[in-house]
Amino acid sequence: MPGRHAPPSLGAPRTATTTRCSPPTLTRRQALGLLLTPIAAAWLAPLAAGDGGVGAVPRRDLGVWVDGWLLDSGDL
Amino acid sequence: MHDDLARYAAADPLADVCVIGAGAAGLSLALRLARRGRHVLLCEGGEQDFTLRSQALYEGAVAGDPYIPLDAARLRYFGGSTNHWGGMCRPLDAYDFTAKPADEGTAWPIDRDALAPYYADAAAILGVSPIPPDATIPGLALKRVHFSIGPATRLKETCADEVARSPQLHYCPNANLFGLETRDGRITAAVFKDYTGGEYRVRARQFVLACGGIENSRLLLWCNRRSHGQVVKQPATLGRYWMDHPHATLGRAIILEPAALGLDASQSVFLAPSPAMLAEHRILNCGLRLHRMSDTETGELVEQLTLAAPRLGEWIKQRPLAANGCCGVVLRAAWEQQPHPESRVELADGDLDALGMPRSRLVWRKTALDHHTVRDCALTLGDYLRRRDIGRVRLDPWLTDDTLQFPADGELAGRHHMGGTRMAESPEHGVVDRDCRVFGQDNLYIGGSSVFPSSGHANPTLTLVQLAMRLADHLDARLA
Repeated sequence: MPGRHAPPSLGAPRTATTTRCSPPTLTRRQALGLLLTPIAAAWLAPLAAGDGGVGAVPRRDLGVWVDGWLLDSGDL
Repeated sequence: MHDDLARYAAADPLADVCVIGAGAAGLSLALRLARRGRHVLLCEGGEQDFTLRSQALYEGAVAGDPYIPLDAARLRYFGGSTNHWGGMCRPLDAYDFTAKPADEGTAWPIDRDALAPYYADAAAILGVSPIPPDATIPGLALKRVHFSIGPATRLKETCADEVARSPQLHYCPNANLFGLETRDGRITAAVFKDYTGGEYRVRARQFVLACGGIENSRLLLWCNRRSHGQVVKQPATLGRYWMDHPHATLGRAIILEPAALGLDASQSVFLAPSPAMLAEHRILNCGLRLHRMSDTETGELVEQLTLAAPRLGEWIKQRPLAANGCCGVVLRAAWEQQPHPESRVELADGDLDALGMPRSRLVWRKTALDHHTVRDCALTLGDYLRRRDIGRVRLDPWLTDDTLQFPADGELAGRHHMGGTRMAESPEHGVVDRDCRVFGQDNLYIGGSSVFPSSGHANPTLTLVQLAMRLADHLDARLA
């Protein structure tokens, strides 16, 4: 996919349809446990809000976790 | 001048200051006072060089989280653990002295300005090179930080001549502290013991215990027991809030634009959270370390990426690595351990050393906040790389689930022994006051990183020498 990285695409080919969100591959029970903790809330809330969390760059999707890799939907 | 403890004790002089321990803190402090004409007795438990007999006194038990054997994590002879340190230095950040939103127990009773006047002198002693200022990275909440990185200064070599020549400084090796005598809130004598059972009492106006971040706790616990609780009258926190900088490998990353992180010009890059990130993410401080892989290792990592992400992997493989600068990095971290009372040094009753003193038992406890801190920093970096499309992170399994596990092998920690005699505003919350004076004692002080209430992510040696310089000036003023 030539040109993919020039200029920084900021997720150009991405869509909002990929929603296997980070943190990765949690069971429902684990996810509920995470959501009940302030620690998890601090990390997940910005993701849910779609505001990009800590930076000024808008988030286009929530990422895909495969075998430990934090990937973009267009990577697969 | 070199002296003999038996001869010195027999003469029974009254020293201005008795400094116990000739490591980074004790040597810095003793020499500064001697240069000002103070009569200093410097007592080192070890000898001039490494000996198995002395080092064996550092053996101890480890409980809780896996930790480095206690006799391998420090050195017991002249110069102390500066005989094997790596030389990495960086001052604590100003906000490391404050109550962090994630844990207000990180607050120090002093701020960084209290140590600033001693930076130049401490840097000169340790051979610290100029450290560039931190730099922000657009779009990333982590900032780039720098260290002074070696060569490590060995105080055994740099201080030996002055110790030998100083007429004001009486240096006694083989001086093993075994007790502190106290009356009416003052230490009246320190008691030392040799391997044959001989005991020697020395007198001084002021006493400083500077034996390292484990031994300070152990010796105070023992001296307090021998004195029936008269040395540390409120010992609730004695030995507790013990910390190291946990070290771990977090994973690997492919960096498609190394220049974005400074990896085009450096083999290793250090990142740390900004103050805003500390607050917003409710984490403690953390140093992320990105170390460039070789081209061969990078190629292997790209192959692994291709298995998980065929499109991206194949695209990267179409680009010659040398031409586009893509590199793999090992992602590691050394972070600020949450200060916690259950992480502690105890006396291992029933396990006595060659002098008859209970050995140390270290109970090292990391917390969920420790896990959250390092995981959040890794995820923040991974998210930045992905959003900018300039790299991808692969985290090791211990970080990708929520079981709060830490690696059980590898480096584990930095051998940065901190806490145990923490500095606090009141004796309910710590062992020493803002002047490093033991609460309830008029003339007993603690030197070294055992007084740290919290640790930041920076290596502690520079800060503990700054504290020793400050303590020397305080004692000099009191003796005037």
